[in-house]
Amino acid sequence: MKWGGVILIDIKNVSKRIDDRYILKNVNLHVNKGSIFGIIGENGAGKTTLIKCLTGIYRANEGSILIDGEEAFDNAKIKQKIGYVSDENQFYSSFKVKELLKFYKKAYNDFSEERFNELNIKFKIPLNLRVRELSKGMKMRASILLNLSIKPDILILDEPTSGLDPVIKKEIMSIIVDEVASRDVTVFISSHHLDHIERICDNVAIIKNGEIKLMNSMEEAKNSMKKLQVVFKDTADINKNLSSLDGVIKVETIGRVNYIVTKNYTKDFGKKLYDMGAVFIETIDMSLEDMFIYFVEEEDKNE
Amino acid sequence: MKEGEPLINIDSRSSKPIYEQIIEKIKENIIKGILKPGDKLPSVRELASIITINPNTISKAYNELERMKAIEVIRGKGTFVVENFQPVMDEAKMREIKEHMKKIIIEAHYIGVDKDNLINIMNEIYSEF
Repeated sequence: MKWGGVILIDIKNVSKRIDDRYILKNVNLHVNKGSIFGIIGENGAGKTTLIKCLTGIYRANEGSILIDGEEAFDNAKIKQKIGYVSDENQFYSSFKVKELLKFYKKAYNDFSEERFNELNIKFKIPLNLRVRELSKGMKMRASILLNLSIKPDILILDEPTSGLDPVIKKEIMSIIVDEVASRDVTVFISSHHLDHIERICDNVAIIKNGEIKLMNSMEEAKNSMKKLQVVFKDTADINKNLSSLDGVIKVETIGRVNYIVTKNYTKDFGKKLYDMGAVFIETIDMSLEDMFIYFVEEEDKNE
Repeated sequence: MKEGEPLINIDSRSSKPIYEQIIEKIKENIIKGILKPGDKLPSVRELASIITINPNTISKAYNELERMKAIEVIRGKGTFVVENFQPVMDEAKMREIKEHMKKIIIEAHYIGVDKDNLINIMNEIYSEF
């Protein structure tokens, strides 16, 4: 078991400016070896920029990014061990798949054609087709396969399932999970498919306008953010009183029922509600997607 | 348990942490006799792939089930359902069950199901095991 294990990716006070605009603002994150880390955020929040800093494509303006204790930028040794699946395909479009294989073999010392072929039994990518002849799903699969074949220690995936059909999505998730289970790979993944993130990630972070707004284990996040359905004996002023409770980010009142969303739920919270005259309290299930939406709404309100 | 028959359905929407859901489903399968004493469970890696869940979450669930003495790990062979499972009473769980029953009884009362009827239903469910 790898709870609280070794830190493999350590991002400290990282800021990135492109032209005059700060895309990342003082980002702090760390990822343990053998874990799966999910980063979620709206379009344009800075996910891809963060990933490009992490893979050593961009150099951060401030702060440091250490991978296995070493700075990632301009570090060929570290890059050999990073598999990077970008959100848009960047292969030469006139290359045949088998030529891509050759290219990868030249670029990565540990590239294994054997492993590629083994994985390709399931993925069935035709080696004689050119990149431009491949469908979107095929290109994504090819990219994932190539990057798994370099036997990476770290796998960085930027929206690997966007625009793909459910069958391929599930297949990709399965293969990622299998890599972690069999080779103890560390995964850093960004995605808008929050149901997948919820199932496979140990930890999640929400990024908004270049800032990390929340970082937690999936389990902790589920335990601390709750939606409650509450009925009070006396309804006068209750909405206002509820909104002022610590951690409450949203109160909606429909008839006699109050829906409360809190981001730091504890047992005391229920007690407090009873003290305020609650006669009925029920917890409503909340998915990561629900949490994300409430969280973003709350942040927008505070801006 | 084989691929294609997912006896562990995970509801990612549920507020219940996934590892707890796995524990519950496996216990349920044991009680219902779908998993029999001595049956081999899929390895962490296999189960992770089948239900696409984080392998760390699955090993956490397996460890907890092992602690409850519901399953045992035999080194080099795999994970198995124990031969004679001895349930252990858990005070906190008991309180939870009582809470659930209270809700059910109130609901039953409101649709006109009386005590005897409810006891019949319980007997019916017990006979399914």
